[in-house]
Amino acid sequence: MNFDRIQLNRRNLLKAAGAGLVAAGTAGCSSSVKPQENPGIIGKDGKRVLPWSNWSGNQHCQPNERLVPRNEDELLTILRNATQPIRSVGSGHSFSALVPTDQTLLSLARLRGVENVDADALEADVWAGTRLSQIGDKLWEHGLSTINMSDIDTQAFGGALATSTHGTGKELGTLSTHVKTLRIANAAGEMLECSAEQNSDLFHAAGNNLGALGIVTKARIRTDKAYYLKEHSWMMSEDEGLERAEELRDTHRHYEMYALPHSDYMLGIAIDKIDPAEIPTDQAEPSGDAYEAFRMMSNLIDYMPFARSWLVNFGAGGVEPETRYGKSHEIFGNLRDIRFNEMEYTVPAEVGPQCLREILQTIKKQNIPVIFPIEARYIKGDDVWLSPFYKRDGFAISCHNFHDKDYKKYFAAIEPIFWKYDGRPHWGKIHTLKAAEFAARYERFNDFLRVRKEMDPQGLFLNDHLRSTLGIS
Amino acid sequence: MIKKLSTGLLLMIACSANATDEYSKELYDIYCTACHAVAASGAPQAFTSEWDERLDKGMTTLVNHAINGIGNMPPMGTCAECSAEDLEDIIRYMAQEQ
Repeated sequence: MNFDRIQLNRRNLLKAAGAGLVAAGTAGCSSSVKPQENPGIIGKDGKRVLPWSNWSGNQHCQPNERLVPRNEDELLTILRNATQPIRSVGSGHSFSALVPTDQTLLSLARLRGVENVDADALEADVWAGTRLSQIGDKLWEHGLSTINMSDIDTQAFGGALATSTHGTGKELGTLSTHVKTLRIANAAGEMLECSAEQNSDLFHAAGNNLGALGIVTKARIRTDKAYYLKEHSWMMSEDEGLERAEELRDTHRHYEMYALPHSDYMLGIAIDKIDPAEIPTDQAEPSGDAYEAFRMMSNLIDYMPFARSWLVNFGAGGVEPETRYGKSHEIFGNLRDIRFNEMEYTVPAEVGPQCLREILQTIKKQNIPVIFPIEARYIKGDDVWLSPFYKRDGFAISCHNFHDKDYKKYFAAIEPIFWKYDGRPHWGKIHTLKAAEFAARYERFNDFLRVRKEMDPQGLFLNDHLRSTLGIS
Repeated sequence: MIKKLSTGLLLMIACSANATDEYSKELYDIYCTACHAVAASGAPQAFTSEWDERLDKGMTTLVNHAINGIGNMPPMGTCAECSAEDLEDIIRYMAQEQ
């Protein structure tokens, strides 16, 4: 989620709470991480192999080998000569244990870039190691924009495709639904191409592949003509936000909500295309300290938990409406890497607001110590076999907590609510489901396993987490 | 003659101390700018004197911080392709005042 969309102001909080107490409360803001001295091990080639940790720091491993192929041929040679399991890593934005391995960790970071742009056909090739944030500028040079984008855009493109990464929009699917063709290397070191017409089973499995089918190296994506966006955000009451969710979804290209736990407020964010001629020349500069304000509030509440609701309501009540304009990728993207841990489930669109209401009520009722906003987004259904949006329009509810605060009790309290509403977890975020539960949620689960076995009979691309979630011994 | 040679040698040393290869600059652009080029992030800003005190801690410490993550900085700055040497090169690059 993008904190910079909330014009919460630290100055107001300081006035509310008193600078002395706030200063005490924020003293622990730095890091709870104790740096490991000289991390890493010496690999079989005599070189230092660094440990790996994901973006938020809740997943760790010490691989015995790290490989970074420079081209597809080098990748295929690695696969043909592999003697131990290989896990592929993107930018480490998954909170579930998709990546950890004590054997080979492979990065496609050097297979990056956007090429073969066809402005007439509205298509382009994107290498798997490309950061999502690198795609927009390059397409813009050719008069194109991505059809949609996630609000955090620091993920690697290959990782985004592996886990059905999405933005928001009633008529807009995940990034995988923009893919026209894919190139994927199997465990035998053979390069395969697939599309909805060619190797279609592989294509429908690969749109949410978990890195379990092979190594996706490149995809040809559909794009849109370059466009500008207007983003308008405003605070409303929680009741109004929940009651108007469907109406606002239907009237904007993109619509999402940030619900503020323990408050009576909800932020609405509507994004629409705009003619650049209508963009005002004197745009207000954002205050840019929403994250720090929340961080401060969270630390303050640790010292005076009895004031939680009052403080959150005080902060939220001072948030003014804001409008931003810009090129598509400038509005979609998130500038700052703000770390948190996250659970996200997608429930059927029609019960989304009801599910969100129950979560907010549960947080209040159980007095769960969290103030991190809950993000809720509408996403169009698709035909990707393991996509949380498979054959149904979805309402994705994302619950977070700061990366250095406990999230387990919070997530344990709300996960059963998602189950009650037939929720499907985001594969790259925190969940507790195992293979039998996934099989019950996905009618093509066994077809995915069949394709996986064809691509990788010996389990070269599996780790413990994947064996558990896919039910492979 | 000796004076000219000495001056030339000093210039060479000065240049090599500041030279950064294109790959390190590319890594910086991809992985570091989101925070180290945005003052609101709270991260030490590239090409400013904010690195002076940090460099006093020693390069090993700074590289270890980058590997482990520190504060809001994610481990390795999410650079899965970076070696410890790459991280050191990037730190030296960012620590240059421009």
